[in-house]
Amino acid sequence: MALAISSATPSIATQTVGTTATVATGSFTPDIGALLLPLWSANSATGASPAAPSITDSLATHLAWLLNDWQSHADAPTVDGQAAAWWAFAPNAASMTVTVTNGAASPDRQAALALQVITGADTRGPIGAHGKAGSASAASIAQSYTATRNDSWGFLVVCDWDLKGPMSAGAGTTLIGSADIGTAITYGFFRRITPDGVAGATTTLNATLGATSTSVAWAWVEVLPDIPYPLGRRRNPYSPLWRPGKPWRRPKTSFAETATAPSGTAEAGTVTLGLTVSGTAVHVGQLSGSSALGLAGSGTAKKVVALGGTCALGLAGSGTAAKRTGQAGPAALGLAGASTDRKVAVERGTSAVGLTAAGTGSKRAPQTGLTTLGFTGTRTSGPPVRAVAGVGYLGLAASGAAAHVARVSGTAIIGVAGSGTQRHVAKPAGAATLGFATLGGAVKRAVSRGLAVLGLAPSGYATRGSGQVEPGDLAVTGDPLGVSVRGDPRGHTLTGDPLHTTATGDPSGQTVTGDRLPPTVT
Amino acid sequence: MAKGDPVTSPYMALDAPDYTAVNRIQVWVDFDNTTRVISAVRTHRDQACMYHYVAVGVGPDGKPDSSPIKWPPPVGDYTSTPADLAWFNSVGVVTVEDFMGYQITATV
Repeated sequence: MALAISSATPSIATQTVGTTATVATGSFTPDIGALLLPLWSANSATGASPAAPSITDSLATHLAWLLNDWQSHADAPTVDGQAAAWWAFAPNAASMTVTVTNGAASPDRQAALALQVITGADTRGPIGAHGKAGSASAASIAQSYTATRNDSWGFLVVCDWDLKGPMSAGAGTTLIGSADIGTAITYGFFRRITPDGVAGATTTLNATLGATSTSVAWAWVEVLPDIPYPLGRRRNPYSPLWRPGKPWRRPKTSFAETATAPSGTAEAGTVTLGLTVSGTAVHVGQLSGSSALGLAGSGTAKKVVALGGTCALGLAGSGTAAKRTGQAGPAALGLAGASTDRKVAVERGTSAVGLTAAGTGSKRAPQTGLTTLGFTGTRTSGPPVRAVAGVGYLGLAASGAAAHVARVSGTAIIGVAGSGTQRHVAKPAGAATLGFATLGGAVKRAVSRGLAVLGLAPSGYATRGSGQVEPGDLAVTGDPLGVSVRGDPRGHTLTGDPLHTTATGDPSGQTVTGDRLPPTVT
Repeated sequence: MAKGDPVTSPYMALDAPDYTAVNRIQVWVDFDNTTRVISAVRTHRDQACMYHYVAVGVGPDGKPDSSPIKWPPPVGDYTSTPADLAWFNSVGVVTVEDFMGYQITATV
């Protein structure tokens, strides 16, 4: 589908009040999946670099707006005035407004906002060439760029801070709108007359100012059209439906989509696949990554995002507010099951797997780890399972509340926390450690800076094993069989009897108390 | 008009083309350059323009659509009547600065 300006495009909105930072479009209802391209031209205080502008929308779940370019006094050639362009995809056909906030000081916040609703843009990455510039002396602008795709469309936003009067369009360019805002600035919005980009060829946006201005700022952007699907498929030798010498056949299997208001976003990635099914406000996004796959099931407000990653797979099942985030990590897998408020996050890790089952508020987050596996079972009230900066460890937390498994800066750790409340298994800064905490309350197992340590904390209350343990030591705290054993068995000090015997002191014969099994060993 | 000076009559308050970049709504404000009192509000609306209303300011929800100062300019060129000016006065718009004291846009 060729690029086209949608009739849903809202009017240019102008903020004439220099003390008001915001300018909002009128309500508009975009086409489903349409590209939203806000172009913004604004005033700024004399000789000052304004703070960055911000953008938002009126949707309950705000869109992820991305800034293409922002030209201001902070950029060469340090002239006043601002020009900026953002983009986002419309998730569905819901009525909305868009508001941009000027970061300039009051009372120099006048601005104009022209949001273009564009259909037919490439949902895998709608932006091609783009940039920004300024001039300390210009009566016209001829902004050229090398088009990156055939039939792409160029847009230009200009701020004439000198207020030289309405602008006009030059060769090959259409004036969207230009006018003075009070006596603050003259804005100008332009586009190529048609989407006439030719891949590899120079495209020029031409604008003529009211007169020579000493403070001109502008930004431009190339919008890319979608690529027709059948061309590549027809010649795909890897397709099971393709046979040499025979025409490509339509598969017999049919796919019926019954979704309402579906949406999807794939951004700036390579070989990215994003699928969203029925529901509202579903979002699948992939930024700057490669080979990412994201799926969001039915429900509302689900989100699957992979940022800067490679080979990331994220799945979000039915429910609300499920979230999967992978940042800068390759080969990450995250699953969020049916429920609400679940979250699976991976940051800067490799080969990480996170699973959260039904429940609310469960969380799985490994950071900067490798080969990490974490599970959280059915529960409520926010049990965390965390692995930080580790390599090759496994953490399991079963049903209950506030179970905790944490592993910091170690290697090859296994931690298991059973059902109950307030259990804790922690191992910082060690290697090859195994820890279990089972039924009971307030059970805790902690080892610091040890090697090859095994720790068990069975059922009970307020049981605790902690401290620094030397390599090769075995420490057991608590008695699953009604036995209590403490200390070092090789150190000849035992407390409790695994055979319903109570022994105190050294079993090598020095002191024996409470032995109910003949003969007595001393 | 020099940058930063008060605007002079007539002041083009809005030039709002729709997606065609051809069909549009335009608004000019005529006023006394000394007293700043508005003498007329002139509008133009192309018949095929997607926009039907001029919104001055925003409503309580921050949206121009709910602005209390909103009206549908008729198709073609139109100059305000005394009754129209009385309505502007009733909503607090007397001088050109009153008119410029808001965000201005066109809505559907």
